[in-house]
Amino acid sequence: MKVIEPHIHMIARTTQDYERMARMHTVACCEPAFWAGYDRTSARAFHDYFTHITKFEPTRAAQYQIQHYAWICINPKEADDLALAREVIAFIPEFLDKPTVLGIGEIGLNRNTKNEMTVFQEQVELALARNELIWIHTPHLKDKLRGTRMMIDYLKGRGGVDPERVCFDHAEEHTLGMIRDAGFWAAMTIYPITKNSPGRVVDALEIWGIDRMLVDASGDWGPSDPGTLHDAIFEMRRRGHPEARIETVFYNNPCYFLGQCPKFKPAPLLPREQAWSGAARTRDSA
Amino acid sequence: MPKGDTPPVLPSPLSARELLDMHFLDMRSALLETAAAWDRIERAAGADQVAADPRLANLRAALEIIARGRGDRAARILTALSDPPL
Ligand SMILES: [Zn+2]
Repeated sequence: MKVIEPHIHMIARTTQDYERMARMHTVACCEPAFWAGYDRTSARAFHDYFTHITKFEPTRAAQYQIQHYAWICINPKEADDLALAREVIAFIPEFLDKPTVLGIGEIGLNRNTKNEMTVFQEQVELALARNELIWIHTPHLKDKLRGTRMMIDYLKGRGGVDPERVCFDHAEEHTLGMIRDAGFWAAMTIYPITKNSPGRVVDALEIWGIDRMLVDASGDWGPSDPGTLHDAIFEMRRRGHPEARIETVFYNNPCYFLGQCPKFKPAPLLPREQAWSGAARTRDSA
Repeated sequence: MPKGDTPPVLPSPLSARELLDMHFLDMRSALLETAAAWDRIERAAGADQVAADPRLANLRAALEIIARGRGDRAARILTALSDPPL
């Protein structure tokens, strides 16, 4: 079974992680632009970072037969400085044109501040003007519920946003309902301590169904492991789910969402109506 | 919001008994870790100063939800530990 990792920060990982992922049948991974663990000191530092994730990482991944894709944006943790954010936004289009860039992300909120919201909105406008896919970071811990609600309300209120082309990441039990009710894609991030676990992710798939659902492992510079994505595959197997359903969650679904960008090459094994039939709850009956 | 009132889209292929057998030791261990860490905090210098820390109150509320809840426990704990929506 082939696997796609929809969200991982390979800049923070060793080459050995690519090797492990390849051995676990990961064929593609996506790297959304995010915080580096420290605040960057200038717009040029972002330019270097975007160059790294659009040039060096695809080359490094290719050595292990893994296709590396990226999302570009100014991330919410560094979005409170409006002047810096706008300086960065000015050169984002240059990177959106790169052959491995799938869209704008991971934009979103961190502490739910006014400036973060302004930068979120300005990048949504950039995405819509260029018809780009959008990948959204939802805040952590006690800020997640409010921040997720703020962004959904904004996108619905604005109008003209196709929810099929937007994915809310780091969803948990208390935010999945609002994301799915609004028709957006939801991604669940397995991340020890602060986000989600393999057991809870499989619970959510059972409760809500597998349509418009993604799972990612979010390896980064914190305690995390790309292998947790494969732990979730094992959890779904040991809980008795059929192989075709597991393959849809971990391979076909990323193809359905990411494949809306013509640059994304992996193809699903079957049409999504067929993959989701009997294993999804349509929105009207939710 | 929480979905405890509606049946799951994908019923668990395993029975309740099989799931209990699978998960019991992990559940037991997670509760013991919480109990032991709480005791450790109370034994340490300055325990009085953290007794009213809202994080411990949050944990107490979460334990109530675990003990008394039915369905939606995880969603209700996360909601209880969240800033309220604006
Ligand atoms: Zn991320």
